[in-house]
Amino acid sequence: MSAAQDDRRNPVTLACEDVHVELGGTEILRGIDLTLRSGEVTVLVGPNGAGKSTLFAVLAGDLAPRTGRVRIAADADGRLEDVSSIRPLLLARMRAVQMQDSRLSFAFTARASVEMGRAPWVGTDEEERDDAVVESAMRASETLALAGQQVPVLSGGERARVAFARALAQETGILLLDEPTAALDIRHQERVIATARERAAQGATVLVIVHDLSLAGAYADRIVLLSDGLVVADGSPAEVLDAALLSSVYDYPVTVLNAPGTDERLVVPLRGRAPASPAPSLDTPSSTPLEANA
Amino acid sequence: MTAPLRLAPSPAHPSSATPARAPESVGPADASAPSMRDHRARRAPWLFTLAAVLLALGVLWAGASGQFPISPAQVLDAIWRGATGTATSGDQTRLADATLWNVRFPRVVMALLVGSALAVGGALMQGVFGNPLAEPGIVGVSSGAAAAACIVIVLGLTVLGSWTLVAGAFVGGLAATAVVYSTARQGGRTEVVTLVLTGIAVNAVAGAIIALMTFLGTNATREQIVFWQLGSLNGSRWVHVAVAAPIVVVCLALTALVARPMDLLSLGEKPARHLGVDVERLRIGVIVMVAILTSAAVAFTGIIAFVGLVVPHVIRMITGPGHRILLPASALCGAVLLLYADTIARTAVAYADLPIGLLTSLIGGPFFFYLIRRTRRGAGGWS
Repeated sequence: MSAAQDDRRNPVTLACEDVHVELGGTEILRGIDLTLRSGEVTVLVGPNGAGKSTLFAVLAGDLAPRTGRVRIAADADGRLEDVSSIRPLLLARMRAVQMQDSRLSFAFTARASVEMGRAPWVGTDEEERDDAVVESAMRASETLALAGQQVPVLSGGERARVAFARALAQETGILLLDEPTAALDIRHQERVIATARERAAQGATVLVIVHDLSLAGAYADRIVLLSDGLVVADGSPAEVLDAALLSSVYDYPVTVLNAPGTDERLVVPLRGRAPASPAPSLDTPSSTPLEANA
Repeated sequence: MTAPLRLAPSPAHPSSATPARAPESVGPADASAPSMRDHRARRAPWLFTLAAVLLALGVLWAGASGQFPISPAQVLDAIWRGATGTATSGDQTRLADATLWNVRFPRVVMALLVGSALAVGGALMQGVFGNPLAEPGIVGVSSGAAAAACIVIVLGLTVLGSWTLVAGAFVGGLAATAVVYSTARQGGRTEVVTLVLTGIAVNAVAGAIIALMTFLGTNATREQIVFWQLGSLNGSRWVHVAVAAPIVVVCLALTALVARPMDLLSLGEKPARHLGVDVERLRIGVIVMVAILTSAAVAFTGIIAFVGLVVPHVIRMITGPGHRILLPASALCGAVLLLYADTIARTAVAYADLPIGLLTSLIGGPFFFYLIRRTRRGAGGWS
């Protein structure tokens, strides 16, 4: 995939300014500015505890920041409005969210669970297209074969794909995906990110959290690297996937290779050269760098 | 594709409130769609038909059973005469009509109303707690309502006339629901252990209040209090029906509004909000409905536990968890269950009216036990 275009004329659809969040007395986010644009896949990366999920919750409207604000393009002209001032139903027509952990309290079938993604459009003209949209979302996530099965008996990866299909079925201009690939095998990892990429190509705004830096490098227009509640790098994969930067942020030596025959970047941990004892840090020691090894 | 599609792609307003359309699928026509549907939902018409037939038979049976024997044909005649206002002829017929219209029919209607209220209250509570084991009787809402009702009786409150008791029960039920809800829930879900422990605590406090009221009360009020704790439909009158019926019918009608959001709530609170559900409003509305339905039932019949647990659970096994079927089916099947249970309770032992709460607990207790074991074995353990 190409690096971020210099052409930044795509409209901003989701933006947060100077976001500070405190949870239990600890400052999790320490002044984050982030703008997401339509047509772009933005990948949010960073070590455990960097604040990725907190920032994600703020952008999704789940968490009100202590200071700062989040605005979303609320009408056809792309005028930005404060997320907290928009009714849940209208917000649900603007952005779809896939959470990391998708559980169902009752034994709905996979199909019924994907159909729930159509709920925001009940009573509109869009309702007519429900069946076609649900089927196409399930085809894209390869969950058609699971349609009649009850979600609680599915495996973790299958449940994640059903949740992804539900987010697709919502057909919103903004897609927020929190680790959609965490439980997936290599084929479905690629397919999920590629599908999100397709949506972006059609004009959607996509924000994805992943831990696999090589996956991020392959599909992102833009990578935002978070560390300790701050954005430490924001740019094209070529700019952000820098061995020195990543080694320092993740506190583990990594190297960045070019995949043979492409300009894709592969982030590989340098095993055996790890620091003898993990440096004291907020991050759990045995974390992300190893996962970067695709 | 079956739906008429507008094939022209929508103008590029990806951020606006118009959907960003995926390219329409290029696969074969949607021939497999029916088989992809939840096959359990197809059983719903059969379930409703069966329940309706059982309901009609149950009314005849309940009318015909009792110390004064009346044939089912006479029951039908009496219903006809009552509905059309035709005068009766003959002392025997008049006596039968009087028995039916003054004693048995109000009790039948009350059983139907209370059964619906308890079953729907249970289904709603399970939905809002995200836990199939939540039930007003188990978590203490019923005993909270009963405790408040006892206070009303012993203190002889009549501020709101015949509604005072219901209003008192409602306040108690609502308070108990609020306590359980704020204690037992975390992140939109409730763990079974927490739920049951909270139920123990609430039941203990409510039991203490009931005990205190028993201690303070006169002989007459004590008798009433005992009746509350056991649960019985004995002594149902049309005046009671006149108070209970509007409450239950309005609540049942309102459940139609919450059915779809309740489905979404089973994803958890945040995902439901992401799909446009105003979760705060929904859960407050549902909790108030649970409290109203439970208190209406408790105020007139005392604590009848487990109906709200067994009925929704069995319906979920038959027609699946979708609330648009679950809620009306619970109303109907709860009514049928309580009608039969009550008829058994008053005819099983000659010249004695068994407390129906005893009967439902006798069946419901072991069923609860089975559910706990099953849930524990299931994926996710105690959740």
